[in-house]
Amino acid sequence: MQLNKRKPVAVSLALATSALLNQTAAAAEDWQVDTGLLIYSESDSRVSATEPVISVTRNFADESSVSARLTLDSLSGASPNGAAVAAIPQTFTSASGIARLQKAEDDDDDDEIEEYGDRAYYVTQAGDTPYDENFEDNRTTLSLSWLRPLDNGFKLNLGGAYSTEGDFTSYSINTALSKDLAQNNTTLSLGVNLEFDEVAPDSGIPQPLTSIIAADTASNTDTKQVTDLVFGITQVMTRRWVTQLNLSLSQSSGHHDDPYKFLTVADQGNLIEDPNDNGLDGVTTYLYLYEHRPEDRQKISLYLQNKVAVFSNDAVDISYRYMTDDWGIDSNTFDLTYHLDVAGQFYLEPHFRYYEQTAADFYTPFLELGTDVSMSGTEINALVDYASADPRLGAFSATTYGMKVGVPLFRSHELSLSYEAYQQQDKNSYRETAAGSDLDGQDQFAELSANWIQVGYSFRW
Amino acid sequence: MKTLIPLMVAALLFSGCANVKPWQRDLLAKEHMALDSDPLRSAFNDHIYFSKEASSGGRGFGGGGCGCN
Amino acid sequence: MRQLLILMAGFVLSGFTHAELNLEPLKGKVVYLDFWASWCGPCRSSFPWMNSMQNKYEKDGLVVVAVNLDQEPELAEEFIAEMGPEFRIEYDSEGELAGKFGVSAMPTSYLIGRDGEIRVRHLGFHDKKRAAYEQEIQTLLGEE
Repeated sequence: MQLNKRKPVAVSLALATSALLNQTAAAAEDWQVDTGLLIYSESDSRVSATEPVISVTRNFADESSVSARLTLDSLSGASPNGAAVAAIPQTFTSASGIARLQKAEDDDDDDEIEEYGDRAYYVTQAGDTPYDENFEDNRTTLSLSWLRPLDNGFKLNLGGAYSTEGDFTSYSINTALSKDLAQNNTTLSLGVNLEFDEVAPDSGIPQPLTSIIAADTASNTDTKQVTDLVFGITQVMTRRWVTQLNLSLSQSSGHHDDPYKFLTVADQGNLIEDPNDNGLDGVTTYLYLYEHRPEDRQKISLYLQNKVAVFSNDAVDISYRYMTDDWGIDSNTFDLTYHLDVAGQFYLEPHFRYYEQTAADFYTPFLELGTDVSMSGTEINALVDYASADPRLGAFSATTYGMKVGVPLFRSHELSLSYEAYQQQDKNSYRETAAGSDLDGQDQFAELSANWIQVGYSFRW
Repeated sequence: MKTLIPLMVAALLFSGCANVKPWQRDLLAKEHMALDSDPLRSAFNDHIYFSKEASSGGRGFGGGGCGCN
Repeated sequence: MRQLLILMAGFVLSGFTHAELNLEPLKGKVVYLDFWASWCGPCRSSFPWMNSMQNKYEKDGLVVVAVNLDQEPELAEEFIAEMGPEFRIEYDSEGELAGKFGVSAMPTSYLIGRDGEIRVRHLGFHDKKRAAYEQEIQTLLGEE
């Protein structure tokens, strides 16, 4: 799901593994249907999304199974464009947006004018976080998976996924192999996921670290390949306790820049007029450069999960994940859920999650003229190789509090409802600015607040 | 290979410590004791966090449960 | 055919008794001894099949004995009420019997010949092997 524009979804490895995972006390041949609906919203009228999902699994008499999952994603709202909060209003124009709007006006295309009017030209008030306004996106993702038990306690999973959105397409294939040992008390697993993404924004891929009004397009489309490898051990420790340890490696190569995000260039904390500004209707256009991220990213993560049965029908689920990558980001995730069975009629699952990450090496809230960027006349040169102000790459911590209620109905039918509230806290070091300048004293990180509701309905027949 | 060896060692150590009989898997066989008892919900949550944070994945595989067949 | 050749050499049942289970009186009959639990999915598939075997071959001397290993007795009762077994049920909640028989998977079943010797062991219950399982029973019933 792209709750952020064109972020690829590593859906297929999860589907592959969850197929292997759901080897519960299932009887022979049946169908299993799981449906869900996510309603997500962020504070400050940022993004909101609605996402229905349906997943169907057919279990066969030979203990193999096939699964298909369809996810529809409808997203609207605004997300930070990367520019810094300033004490003065800022007008954002993009040459490509203007060109597209001009063409729409020439063609008398009212729909296009209505859709892109705000994106070609919009104003952020003093003290507000600049947002890329009013976009709407619809994405469809389909994933398929086939599980087959082999001889000698081996199980094989093969799968693939396809995802499409206006300007972003993703294809992936995956495979996983597991082996049961020690009377099924130990399971060793190995999974591989290969993903290929293509991004084709309407206005082309901008040349990184160039002015947003320069209309300097590098190409029309760009691609990225991701390879993921996961090694896992699941071990039954006691009658009440099962544990899982996974080591994941990820290599991503290609285009990682967000083609819609840029950074403010400031001179001693003051906004600078873009030297290429053609003075559109007397409006001052400041200097912003498109972001740039490295072409390669390697990640390693270690995940440990423990599930302990408490009394007869309760359980504690506690997990920890450590991640580190070569962009300078380290993260820790701690997750705790308690399953409380209420008189066998329904259950409650209170949930808590704590997350923290360090910033990417090239993360900065804005670029400094002289240090990060040099300018002579109308020529602008970046002195840094990479830069991004995307809050996703900044330093922050986040806590989630949630509750799920599950009600078993007749036969195998179950209805569930959950609510989660998420809050980020800024942990970035403040980048100094000159006293009294446009950027002085302003927030440098937009802490995200979001909450979501999920409704689920599942059954077998 | 360097990361594989500690994992294999861990596997050997792990398999030494459990002596849980096949008929003692009753509690682990309960649906809520599956390592991922609500895959759709996990997928939703993983996607939200993936799009708002810089980390992703980690969770994975099968095992545990009833250990039948 | 191959399954019939799985012999547990030297394992003789005669004389073996347990507080809840005495197989001595069953010598001369073919016994299908099954270890099961309510939480075991394949066990759910095996019950209707065991019912059908008991009904079909009882007159020929087949006795199905299903030993329950549930540690929460009410779950076993619910399962029995739902599945309606027409064969003998025994209880071994401490797993003593299972331990002595070396049960290493859920479910595990043993086919004991008319001579009181364990002739075949099944680890798990696999739907696609039903015909083969029945074939084994017929072969053992055909002896003596």
